Amino acid sequence: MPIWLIAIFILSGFSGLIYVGNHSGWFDAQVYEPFVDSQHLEAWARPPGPGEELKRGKATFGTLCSTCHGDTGTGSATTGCPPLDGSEWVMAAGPNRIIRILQNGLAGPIEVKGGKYGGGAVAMTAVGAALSDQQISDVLTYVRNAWSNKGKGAAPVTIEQVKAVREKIKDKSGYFTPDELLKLPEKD
Amino acid sequence: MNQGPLVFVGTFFALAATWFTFVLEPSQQIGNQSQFLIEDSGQLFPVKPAGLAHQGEAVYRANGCFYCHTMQVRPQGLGGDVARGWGARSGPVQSVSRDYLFAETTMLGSQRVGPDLTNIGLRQTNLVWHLQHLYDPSSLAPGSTMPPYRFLFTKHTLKPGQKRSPDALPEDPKAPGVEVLPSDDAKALVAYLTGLHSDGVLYEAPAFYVKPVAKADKKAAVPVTPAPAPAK
Amino acid sequence: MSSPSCQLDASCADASAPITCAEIDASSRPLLLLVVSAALWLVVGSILGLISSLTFHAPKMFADCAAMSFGRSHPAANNAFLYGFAVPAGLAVLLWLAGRIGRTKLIGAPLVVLGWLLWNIGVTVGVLGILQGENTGHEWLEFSRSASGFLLIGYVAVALAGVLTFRARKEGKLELSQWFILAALFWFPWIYSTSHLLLLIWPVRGVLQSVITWWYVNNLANVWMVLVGLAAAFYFVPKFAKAPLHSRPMGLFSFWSVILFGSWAGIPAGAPVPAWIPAVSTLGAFLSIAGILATWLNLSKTLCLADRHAQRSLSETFIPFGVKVFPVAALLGVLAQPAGVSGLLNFTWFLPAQQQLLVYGFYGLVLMGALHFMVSRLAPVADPKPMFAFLHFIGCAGGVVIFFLALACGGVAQGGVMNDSTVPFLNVVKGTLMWIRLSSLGELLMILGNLLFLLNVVLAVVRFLKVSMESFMAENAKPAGVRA
Repeated sequence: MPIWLIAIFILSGFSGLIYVGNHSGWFDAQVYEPFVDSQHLEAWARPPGPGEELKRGKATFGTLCSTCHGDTGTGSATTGCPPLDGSEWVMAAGPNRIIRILQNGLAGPIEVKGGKYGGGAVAMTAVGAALSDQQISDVLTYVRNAWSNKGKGAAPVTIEQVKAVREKIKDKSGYFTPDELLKLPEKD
Repeated sequence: MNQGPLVFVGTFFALAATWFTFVLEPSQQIGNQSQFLIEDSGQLFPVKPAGLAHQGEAVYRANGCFYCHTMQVRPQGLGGDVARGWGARSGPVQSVSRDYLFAETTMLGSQRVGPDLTNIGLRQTNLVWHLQHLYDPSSLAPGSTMPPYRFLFTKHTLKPGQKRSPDALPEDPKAPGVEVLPSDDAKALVAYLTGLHSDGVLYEAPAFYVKPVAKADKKAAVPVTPAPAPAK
Repeated sequence: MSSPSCQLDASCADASAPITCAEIDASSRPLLLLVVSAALWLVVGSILGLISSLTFHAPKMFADCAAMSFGRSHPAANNAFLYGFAVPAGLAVLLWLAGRIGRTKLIGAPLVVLGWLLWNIGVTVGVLGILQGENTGHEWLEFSRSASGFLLIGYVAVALAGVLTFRARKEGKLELSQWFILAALFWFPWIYSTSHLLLLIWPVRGVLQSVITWWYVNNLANVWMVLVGLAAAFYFVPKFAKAPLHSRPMGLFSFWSVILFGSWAGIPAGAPVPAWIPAVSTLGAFLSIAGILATWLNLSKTLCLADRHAQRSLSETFIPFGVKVFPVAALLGVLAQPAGVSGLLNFTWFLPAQQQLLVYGFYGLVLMGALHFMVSRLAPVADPKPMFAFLHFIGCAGGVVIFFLALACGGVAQGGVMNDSTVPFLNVVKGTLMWIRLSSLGELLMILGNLLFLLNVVLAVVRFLKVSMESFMAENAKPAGVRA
């Protein structure tokens, strides 16, 4: 057995142990990558500072909304998916209508920024049904404060507003239609 | 000296060591997991799939969908899974073992010839889209390399005056008067796909912030057996 | 005794040995059953593999034919290779080596025949089942419950004959190869029965199934196959070099490294299991590096003593090639393990490429070399023509190298663009097509090699049967004539 082989064995074992130290979560069944240990996990679960809701909203937007509405909220005339950037629906005084759209989906023709969208076979699905109140408030706050919507003074959507609207429409099944929504006040 | 017993005992201990590390210990840790009660919404996660979706899992298995599609999203910082929008959790942890609690067979997959399907039930909820895509993938995704699963459908020519079945796929303008009907297997497979979602906010997979529920499974969770009606 | 390979038996025909090589080989003839069926399944598997890869070139080809669709022909091909070829061929070599090194005749020939029969029933049922849609959903363990039951009983029967033969050895002190043989005989039934029980009989829930599948796959590829391949290598390489092995202690180090750490690597970082499981897997991968280097050093130092210019038999080309492939394949497996690299390579074509290099490039080629040697002793026939040998080697070795290089390069490129979310996923897939086409060329070459392997084995056995039938008839005819 050459000495260098033994050295490699010891060295590789040592670096393997360092790797385990950094990646094993100390054998805690609840710790998954990328958390380092259970304290890291707990720290993550603490309430964050201001501005974090935009980060969270952006993440949710990226997974659920951008497929149709585009990464910058431009929508697409070909698929009939309306823009969010500069949309009067999004930038309304209150989130009364958009919470409903997220919760139950939207079907039927809709006019946004003077253009006609939707109305075909494809409707907006009820993406919000699977989200928590927190996630809905985050993603709506983000959409109201992203791209050219930024700096227009749109008020954040609070968890309480989401809770209240969800409570009101809990018996409603199926899509909302634009006409139905236009009858509602923008803000309670 | 007879070395036979030495080799035998050595082999036995080496095998016992890997068995202990990779079979026994993981079973102890994640073998008894149960549903998690999400404080925010009062819902349990994960939910047991409906009967049809469960049948669809068998179709997914029999046709080897998992050789080209993974069903695991890697966490933030490892590969581009999160950036591609395959994850549905807003926190850094994506797929965790609890997500697979109700899978009869866990088919994580090892190849991404096609996109990840962990959250396909959130990304594409349109059943007709899924059926059409199974029948002819390139009609909806031009250039797709996915093979068509025409053997999951039957094709009829409509007699004059005969009405199309409500189940039939949308008419192909190139072949008018032809009706394509999905088999039960195709419908079950689509029910399975549209039911896939790993988005519950869990203790081990927190959203950006949620107050932690009690740490151990024992306190917070409800036993698995009485599964509630599926949420979707 | 003029051909070079015949002189290789000289060490066996020790003057003091009470038993000759010819007697051992004659008693080992039932093993030819295993060899012929293995060669057949190898060809069946590679043809199924070709069918499955046709889907990449023409996706619509099998749209109306469920049995030939990728999701069925691909696992059928893989299982035909693993359980049709790899395991029974390995068993045949193990049993023959146990007799040859232990200087004893094969004991328990009826067990071998029984086990062979059960095993092949199992493989047939399993492969046909997969084509009909009976897939368990666990990679490398796709055979249905009944099929894998046959396999398990069949294996135990054959391995029992192996253990009996091993126990009948003349010396207590073990040759290096014998360490590997004994460990391999016991390793497979344990891992197969454990995963069979926990996945099919009393299935565990959720992601635990995947953990057990990983454990099984890593044990089969990185431990069992390596044990069998190195058992053959440590026996044949000194024979070819006509010199003792470079270092026995280093060989023992390889042994302990394989059985202690071989099965750990392979669970990728970021898998949906608690973080420690992939982390410990990485530790195991790191620890196996020294063992791989020791194996490489030991075998290559011995090999360099071999006469480079002598005329070489088929086994003298196949086994050294496989031995050179081993450290490359094994080290690439280690390299792909830590989180940084795994983030790039996981889910790409790199891992199938590395796996093919290990199970075909190393294990398959070493085994084919050993089987050629074995067949030429068990059913003595003339050496094949040089052209045949050349095509056979180019098919198998060239094929696997092209296949590996194409998919490994393609996999690295694929990993890079897959992690770049600005590239649409469809473009990522299309980017791999060119590499897949190139790998199909390698696949075609491997089919050629496998076909020639089958041809050589079948021709040898048929010729041998014909000759022995004639001599049998001649012997029986004489007394009859005398009586008349």
